[in-house]
Amino acid sequence: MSREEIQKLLGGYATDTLSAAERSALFEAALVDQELFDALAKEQALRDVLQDVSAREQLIAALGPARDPFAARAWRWLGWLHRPAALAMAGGMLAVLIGGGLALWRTRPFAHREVLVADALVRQPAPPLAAPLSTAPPRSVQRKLFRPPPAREPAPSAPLPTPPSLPAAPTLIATRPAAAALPLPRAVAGFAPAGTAGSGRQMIRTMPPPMPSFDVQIGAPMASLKKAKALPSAGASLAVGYTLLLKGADGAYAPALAGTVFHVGDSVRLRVEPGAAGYIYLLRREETGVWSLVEGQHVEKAQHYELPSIDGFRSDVPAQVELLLVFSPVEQNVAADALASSASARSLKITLEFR
Amino acid sequence: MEREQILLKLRERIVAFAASHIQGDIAEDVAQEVLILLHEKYHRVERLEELVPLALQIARFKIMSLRRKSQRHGEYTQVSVADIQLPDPEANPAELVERKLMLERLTQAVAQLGDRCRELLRLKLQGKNFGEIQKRMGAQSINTVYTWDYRCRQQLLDLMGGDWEAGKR
Repeated sequence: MSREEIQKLLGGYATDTLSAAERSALFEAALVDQELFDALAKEQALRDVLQDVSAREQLIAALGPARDPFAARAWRWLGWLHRPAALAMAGGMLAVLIGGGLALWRTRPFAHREVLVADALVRQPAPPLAAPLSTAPPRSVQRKLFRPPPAREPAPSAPLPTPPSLPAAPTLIATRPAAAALPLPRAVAGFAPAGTAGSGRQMIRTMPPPMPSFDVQIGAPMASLKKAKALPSAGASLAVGYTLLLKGADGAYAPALAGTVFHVGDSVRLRVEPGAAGYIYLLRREETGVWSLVEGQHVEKAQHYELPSIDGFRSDVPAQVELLLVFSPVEQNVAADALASSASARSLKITLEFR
Repeated sequence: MEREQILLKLRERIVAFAASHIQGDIAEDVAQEVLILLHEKYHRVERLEELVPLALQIARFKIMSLRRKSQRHGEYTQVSVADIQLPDPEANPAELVERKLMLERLTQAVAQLGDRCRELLRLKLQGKNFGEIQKRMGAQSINTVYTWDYRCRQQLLDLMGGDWEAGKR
């Protein structure tokens, strides 16, 4: 034992706590160490007192009730860990905790990612009818946007009834009225390629022969979209795509967002993109029920045209405006009514509702 | 170690210890008287573990007796070895009073110790050795118990004014 360790035995001298070995070590060291001997001699007074049994009992009583020190309590409390069964149980619980923590750790980022995507969707305005699908939003948003929500999932509509057979194109030509009935020069003058090429196409509507016309309700764009996508394709040469444009506060026409409700005073245009070169005629049904030609013009394949080229459709009172978009590969020189009635297979009926 | 060697070393230590409390020449006398007593009355005691405590006890009584006598106006210049009775706590009324006072001080001091020290002292007073105390208190090693006891003893000594006996400092 070192000198320091032997000095720590001093406390056992007075109470006679030392074992034989400890006592020998202490006394042998004291014989050669005057300081230790002096300390030992000073302990003699206490030793003399503690030799008396009654004095010991008095001190024990003064120490109060026995109380286990913290270390002993902690050691005994941890003593159950020394048992194999308890140790196994503790290990199992630890494994469960670790496993649970890992599971939470793995699932948490995914849940967080869903929240981020949801935020992106909320902030992202609903794609307008004319919003180009080719635009490249941020990748994270794009991934979500291309995951169509249930409301937007196109569901196949009921099979459309077999359209009646159309008179062939030569018939239209044969019934063409006088040139005055269709002011073609105006239509040609209205030829105006859209300056926002590529930004207006949202969907391609086909007009296969024979095909009944159907309405486009701006107030219910989703239903219209479903119906449009349910249409059978009739070949690229007969495809016509259109987008509704709404005049903004700055006077410019911009694609109307999906779900847009047209109000009294709004000005609306159609942006048309034909799938083939030919002629486009836009008809409007008057209050009397007859069709009148709004505009007609020659068009080229995959070009954008805004109709009408001057102003737009508007109403000062809540009303429905029925339009008829007719595509013909050849020029039509017939009256508007005759064109509407004879060209239903190559026409598209559009209803604008102003509320 | 032989008894003679033990006694020689004891003499050196006792002289030095007594010299720190009383005059040098008297310290020599005290050591000599302790050895004479060990030789004459305790000549059968040979083991170190018995000789050292016995020598310390005789020396302490010798020094205390000298102090008392010197306090009585120097009436006695030396203490007769024959006057020392071991062990006989009841024989000397002054010694009895000193022990009683010391016990009172001890009682007050131990009440101020912390939980660990009180428990350690209790086990010591109950006669447990350090090995048993280690198990009872859940110490990881016996050196830990040594350290605890050393600190507790120092704390108790401080509570008693730095000396077990009153009026020594």
